[in-house]
Amino acid sequence: MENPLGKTVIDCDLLVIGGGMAGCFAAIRGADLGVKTVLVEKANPLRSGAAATGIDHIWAYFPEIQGPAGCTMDGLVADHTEKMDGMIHQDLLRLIAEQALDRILDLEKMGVKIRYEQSQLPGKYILVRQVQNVVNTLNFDGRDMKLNMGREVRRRGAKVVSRVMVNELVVRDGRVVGAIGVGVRDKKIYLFRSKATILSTARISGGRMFYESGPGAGVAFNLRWPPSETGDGKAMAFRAGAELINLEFSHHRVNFKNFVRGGGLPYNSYSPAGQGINAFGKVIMPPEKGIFEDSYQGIYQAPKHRLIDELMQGRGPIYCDLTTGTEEEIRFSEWSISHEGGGTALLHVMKREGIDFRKDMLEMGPGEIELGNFAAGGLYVDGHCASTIPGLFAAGDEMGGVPLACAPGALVTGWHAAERGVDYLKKNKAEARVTARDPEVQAFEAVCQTFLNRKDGLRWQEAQVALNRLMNYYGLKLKTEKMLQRGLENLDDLTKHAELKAANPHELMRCLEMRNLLLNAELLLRGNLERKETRKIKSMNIHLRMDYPQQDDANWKCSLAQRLENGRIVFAKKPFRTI
Amino acid sequence: MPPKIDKTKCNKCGICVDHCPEDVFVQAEKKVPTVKYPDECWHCGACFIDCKPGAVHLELPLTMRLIPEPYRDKIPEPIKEY
Repeated sequence: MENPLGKTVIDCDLLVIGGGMAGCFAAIRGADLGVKTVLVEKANPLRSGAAATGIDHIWAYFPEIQGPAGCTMDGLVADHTEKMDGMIHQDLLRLIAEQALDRILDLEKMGVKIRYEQSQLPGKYILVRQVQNVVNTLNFDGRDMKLNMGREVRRRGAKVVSRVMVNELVVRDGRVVGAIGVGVRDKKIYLFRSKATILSTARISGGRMFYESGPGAGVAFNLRWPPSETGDGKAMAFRAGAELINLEFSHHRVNFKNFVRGGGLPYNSYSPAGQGINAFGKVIMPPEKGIFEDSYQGIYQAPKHRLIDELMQGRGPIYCDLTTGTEEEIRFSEWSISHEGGGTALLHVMKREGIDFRKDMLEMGPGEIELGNFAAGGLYVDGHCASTIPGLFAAGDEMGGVPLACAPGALVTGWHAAERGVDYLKKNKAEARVTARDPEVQAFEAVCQTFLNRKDGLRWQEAQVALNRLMNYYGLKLKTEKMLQRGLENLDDLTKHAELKAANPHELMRCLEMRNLLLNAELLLRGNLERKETRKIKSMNIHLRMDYPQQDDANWKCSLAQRLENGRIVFAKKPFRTI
Repeated sequence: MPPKIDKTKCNKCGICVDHCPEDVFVQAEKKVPTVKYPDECWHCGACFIDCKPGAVHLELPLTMRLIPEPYRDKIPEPIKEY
């Protein structure tokens, strides 16, 4: 090969791919258990992943608070399951609920502030309602927790490899024994040889798949979820033969119009003052004040989100309004927002522009499409984070089938996947011989060289816009058998003609991301075509088929799994596990 | 387009380059970093949060403007000649 790229081989026991919350906790636990652990991250674990610049909320079960209020652990799991209409693997949900508080206490040991003098609750926690109908979500100083976590990974003795994008898994005798990536700054090929591997590259950022700004908007990464979340883990797992589930699901959410970052609206970070109002000043989502009262420890019935309906019924624009809040309430919200990813940036820009929640409302609008949260697409794993390929585990949003696992899901399953990975590698002593001259490494280098050597190729942005337009049209609101078939044909054409070029390793990363997005788009469309029903979680559509408008629980109250076998996609139905 | 670096305040430490999750900065040795890929900014704020001398700020592109309600300016009404 002309101008071969340099190669680096890194050996370890436990390889963790993706250094967000789940990946950091996996690496910390792996190192704790005494195995040689490597954490590889496309960016830098100090500021990467969905929590790059913080989260202000994390749910858990606080026995000394929820217990006296009449909510048991079983009750919490039942409540979450019911809110997801049973479309959830309860064993994993239970694991998360049981261990979330322990992991939060680990965060505290790393230096993250979680207790507050003004709190009247046991433990001095500030709790609000977020995911379940229980006031069990800790509001805390999470802005810089990735700095704490990233430093802790190193302090415990795990090796951190930053700015390397892993793109392929190495499989020998049906087991995952390593991974291959490329330096997004140094352009070197990296071969990792591992005894157990954890994937934690997150959900697919809905905005990289669907983006509703239309042509001419450019590709400014004004996305709620990290633009770097391009389904790299899902794509490499699929190519390696692992089973993926729920990729056909997606849903809408509400954000600030234009600037989409800064937490849930008009509640969560914006409570207790935050309320939703319509163009006529009518309160359409009343503020959640009650849950902030010291005496309040009960079960809370969340109001239904009907913001989009408000627009459809001609009562828009709609606003997030904090102006009726007291000074104390607004200060509380500003504290909360400043710790929620992008919230600091929101407040920074508001200050520069002289916008103030005390007098100004900000407009809300339809936000980006979610491929996580209620959708929960990802690797099919058992109750202990093991994928369908021995030696491969998944954690956090890389796992499918646990909707709204959120931050505690990442921390708990990262930790747990490491424990199970270490168990696995201690039991499996078989040595795999993998070298930098092996065909997989050569094949991946050839993929990289194709992008790097293509002088008259296309910019990756062109493929990005084409993919977004294609997916918006065929894969979202107008789905029928014929439309989805046509969508697949369009995607095939796009994939064949997306001959992208990379002038440097940074652009190579974007080209490889596009390659992964195109594969994930195919799985998304194929899943949409196969699931012949309309599926809702409560009143929210997660899959709307115009030609199958009814929900079909008899045939489809299950996950649709997709795996690659001899070059063909194999579908299987996977029931949701109950406990 | 975001982010912007104030050259007079920048101490050239490179922390923005090191922390940026989208890899939008480049830095030549001992030089003020430059924003090579402004379109790829996620507006997460890591650069300005972690900048010790406070040399970085974010500016939002036109597609991301925060427009307060009530609106600040007066838009003149047309005159109807019918």
